[in-house]
Amino acid sequence: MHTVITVSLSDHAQPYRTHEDAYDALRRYLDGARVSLTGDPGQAEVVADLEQSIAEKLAGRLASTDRVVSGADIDAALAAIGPVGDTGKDPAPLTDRPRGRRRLCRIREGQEIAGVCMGLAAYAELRVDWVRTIFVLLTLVSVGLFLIVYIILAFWLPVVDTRKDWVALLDCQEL
Amino acid sequence: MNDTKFAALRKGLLEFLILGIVSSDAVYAADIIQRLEGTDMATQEGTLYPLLSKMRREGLLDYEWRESASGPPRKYYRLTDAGRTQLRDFRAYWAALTGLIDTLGT
Repeated sequence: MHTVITVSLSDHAQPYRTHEDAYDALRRYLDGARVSLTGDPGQAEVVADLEQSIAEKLAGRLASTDRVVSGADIDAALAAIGPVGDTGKDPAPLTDRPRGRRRLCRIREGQEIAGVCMGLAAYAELRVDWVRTIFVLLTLVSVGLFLIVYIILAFWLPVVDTRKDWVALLDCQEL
Repeated sequence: MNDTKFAALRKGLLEFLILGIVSSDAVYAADIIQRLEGTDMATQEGTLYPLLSKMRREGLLDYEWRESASGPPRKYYRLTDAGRTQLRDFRAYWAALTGLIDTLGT
């Protein structure tokens, strides 16, 4: 069984039908591009440019519009376009960063309730299971008082989608 | 070739090479890639688009949409007056710099 996903790229009138792995690769690339352009005022423009370029490369590769885009098609198109940004380098590891610049956020990726513990774990560089265990223990010991702390944090903290976004946020604050 | 040392130099120079390429005619991103292909300054769209976007915001470049035979309209870039001035300044500076490099040492 194959899942086929229809994708519309940029202003291309012709939507593409892609295999699931091709769709995932495309999605990962564009999400990565957005993250590496965090804080760049041209972010939306550059992503639109990239989408259009990908669409053109796919059009060149697919002899007929009926053919479904494969992972190999996407890989070839993305390899020709290359990594986005100046170097395509990953941000420096967290441990090398000064602690003062960090900002506590909620992180949606891997969240159980509102992502507060994910955010705390990233901030304190602890495993999220430990943070959750401590939170649950504190809630039990304090007869529910820490649940209120959690709720306040859930409303008060800014939210980011993934841990990678959170790291990217640190990068643009350092500039 | 000392790659890491020269990489930083190439990165800084790319912007001025783009000014040079765009100065002769209105060009499309793929034309720029093609013009640099096979040279030491070869680049890819992933690097080029963020740079073009920045140069446009700085007022060095401008673009217009033009119809293409295959697919949707494309962005054609051309130099603004500020871009033309910067290219002229860069060429003068570069000539002075190479003159200096040549006269230093043996």
